[in-house]
Amino acid sequence: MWLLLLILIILLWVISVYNVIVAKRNNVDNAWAQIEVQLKRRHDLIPNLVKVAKGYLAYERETLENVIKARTQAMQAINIKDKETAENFLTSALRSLLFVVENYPDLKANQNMLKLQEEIISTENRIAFARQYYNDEVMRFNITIQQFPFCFVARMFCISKKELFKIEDSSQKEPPKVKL
Amino acid sequence: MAYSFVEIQKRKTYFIVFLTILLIIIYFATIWILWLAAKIYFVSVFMDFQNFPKKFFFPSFKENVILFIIAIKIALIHFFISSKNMSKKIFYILKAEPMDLSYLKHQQLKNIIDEVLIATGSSQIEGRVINTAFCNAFSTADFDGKVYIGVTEGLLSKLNRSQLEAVVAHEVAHIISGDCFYTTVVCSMFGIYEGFLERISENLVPIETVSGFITKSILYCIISFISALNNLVVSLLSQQREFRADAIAVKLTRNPLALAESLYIISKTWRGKSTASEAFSPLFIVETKDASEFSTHPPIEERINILMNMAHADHSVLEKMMENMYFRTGNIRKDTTPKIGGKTKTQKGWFIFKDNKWQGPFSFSELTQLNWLTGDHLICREGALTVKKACEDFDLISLFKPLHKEVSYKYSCPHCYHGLEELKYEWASTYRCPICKGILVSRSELNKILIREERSFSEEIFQQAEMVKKEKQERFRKIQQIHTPFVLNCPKCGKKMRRRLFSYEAPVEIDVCIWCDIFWFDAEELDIMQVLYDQNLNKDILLE
Repeated sequence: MWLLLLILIILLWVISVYNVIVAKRNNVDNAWAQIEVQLKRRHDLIPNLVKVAKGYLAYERETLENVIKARTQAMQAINIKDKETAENFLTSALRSLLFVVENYPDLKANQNMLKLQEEIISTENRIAFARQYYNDEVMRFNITIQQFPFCFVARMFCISKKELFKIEDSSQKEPPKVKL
Repeated sequence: MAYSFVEIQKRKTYFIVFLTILLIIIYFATIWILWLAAKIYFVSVFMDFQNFPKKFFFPSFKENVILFIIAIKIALIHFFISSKNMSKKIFYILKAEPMDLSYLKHQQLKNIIDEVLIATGSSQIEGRVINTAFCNAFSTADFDGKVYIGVTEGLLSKLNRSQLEAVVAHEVAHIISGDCFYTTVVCSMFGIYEGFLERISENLVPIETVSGFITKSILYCIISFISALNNLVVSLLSQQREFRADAIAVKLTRNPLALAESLYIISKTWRGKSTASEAFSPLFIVETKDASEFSTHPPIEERINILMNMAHADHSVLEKMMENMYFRTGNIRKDTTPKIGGKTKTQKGWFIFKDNKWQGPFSFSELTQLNWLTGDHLICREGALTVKKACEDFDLISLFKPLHKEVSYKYSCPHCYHGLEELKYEWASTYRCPICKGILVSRSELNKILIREERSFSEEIFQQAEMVKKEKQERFRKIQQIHTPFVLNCPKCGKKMRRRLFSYEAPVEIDVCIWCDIFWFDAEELDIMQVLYDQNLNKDILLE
C-alpha cells in the first residue's frame, strides 16, 4: 500500500518535471524561429542592396559578388553549425561592402542607400537581439536538464543539451558600424 | 519577463481599488469643507452668527453619510471619465503624432522599437513623436493593453542610434514590468486636466488686456489647485521604478554606457519645463520639472553613477562626450565637399545612368529630345559629386511635368506669382518657388525644420548668418516691427503678411501671415535661420 503511494508520488513528480522541461524546450524552439525570421529578412534585403549599389560600384564587382555568394550559401545551410559559419561569412561580406560604400560619397548620400543601410543595421541588431534571446532560453533549458534531480528525468526521456548560436569573435558582437 | 501576465492583472486590480479609495477620501474632504463653508456663509449673511448654536456647523451622522455617498459617486464618475482613452488624451495635450516613416530618423525609431521588442519576446508597441525642441521620452499604457512609446523631435536629433536604443529599452522596461500602466493611470487622474488647462492658457488672450489678465489669473489659480492634487496623487509612485527600469534596459541592450550617455544629454538640455508636459512629469524618462520634495524620479546623478559602475567606466567618458556635444552642431553641418565648377553649374550637362553605364553629358535641350528618359533614371550633374533620380533634380522637374499636364498649384509665390512646388525640406513638407527659391512653411513644420539636423550648409551661409546677426540685433533692440509692415500677400488666404524679425537670437527678416500661421522665407533665409538657431542651442547647453 505505502509502496504504491510512493510510486504514485514519484510518477506525478516525473510528469511535472517532464512538463517543465517540455515547456522550456518549446521556448527554445520559439526563440530559434525568431532568429530564422530575422535571417530571412536579411537574405531578402540583399538583392535590393545589390541593385542600388550596382550603378555606383562598377569597379567593386568582386565585393558585390562575394555578398551574393555568401547569401546563397547561407540560404542553403540547414543545421545550426552550418548556419553559424555561413551567416558569419555573410556578415563579414556585408561589412566589407558597407565599408566600400563609405568611399563613394555620392552613393553614401543616396536616399535609397541611406534607407537600405538603416534597414541592414536594424536587421543586424534584430539578429543580435534574437540570438541573445535564443541563447538565454537555451541556457535556461540546459541548466534545468542538468540540475540534480531533474537530470534523471531528462536522461530517462533522452533529452539532450541544446547548442548555443555563437559568433566568431567578440568584436563581431557589434553591428557593422556605419556612419549615417 | 519580470512578471507574468496574471500577476500584473492582479496587481492592477489592487491598485485601482486603492486609487479609487484615495479619490473618495480627497472628494469627501473637499465636500465636507465646502459644506461647512456654505453653512457658515449662509448663517453669517442671513442670520445672527453670534447667537447661533455652534453645534449646527458640524455635520451630523446623517449628513456625513449623505456627503460620503456623494463623494463616492463623484469619485467613481471622475475615475471612469479620466481612465477612458488615457493615451489619446495625453497625446492630444502633448501634441504627439504618429511617425512619418518617409523621414529616416522616424523609420530608425520604429526599427529600434521593433528590435528591442525581439529581445523581450513580447507584443506590439506603437511609436509617437512630439513635435517640440525639448529632449525627453515617455511611455503610456491603456486599460485595453495598448502601449505606446513617445520621443520628442529634439531627442531624436540629439542622440545617436545606440543611445536612442537605450532610451527605448528603458521605456520598454517600464512597459513589461507593468509600472507604465500605474504611472499612466495616476497621471491621468488630475494631470490630464492640468495639462489641458495649461494648453488652453498658452493660447489665450494676451495678458495685456484687463479681461485677459483676469481670466489668466483665475485659470492660474485653478491650475495650481489641480497641480497640487496631482502632486499629491503622483507622490504614491515609487522612485525605485526608475532604477528597476534602468536595470532591465541594461539587461536588454547590454550597453549601460549608452543609457548613461543619453541620461546625461537629457539632463543637460531643456527637458520640457514650463510646457504642458509638466503635468505628466512621472511618465518621462527624466522628470520635466526641477527636482523637489515632490520628485517622482531619483536624482539623475545617482542613476548615472549606477550605470557608470555597471559599465566599469568613470566620468571622464561623459565629460569627453560633453565636449563633442558642444562642437557637434555647427561644425559638422558645414558642408566641406569642394565645389567643382562653382556657380556655372546650370550651363553644364547631365550624365545619365542607363544599361549599367554612365552616358552623356547631355545638355538640357538634348535631354528634352530623349524619349526613354524617365524620372526614375539616375542622373549626375557634370562636375558635381551627387547622384540623384532625375525627378529629384530641381532643374529637370519641368521635363517630367508634361506627363501630367494638369498640375494645379495649391499656392502661388508672393513675389513672382508662379505656382509653388512641394518640397521636402528636412523631411518637413514645404512649398518652394522654382524661380526665386523662396519657401513657404507653416509653424509646425518650421518647428521640425529648426530641430532636425540633416542638411549641411556651405561656408557662405555661415558668413551671412554672422552678418545678419550683427546687423539686425542692433535694430531688434530698438523696435521689433520693421516700418514697412505690409509687403507681400499671403499665398494661402491672400491677406497682407507682416514683415518682422523672427526672434532676438535668430533675427532673420521673415514674412508671417498671422491668420494662417504661415511663414515665407526668401531664398537662403531658412538656411541662415537654421544656422543661427543651432548656435543659440549650443549656447544654452554651455550655460547650464
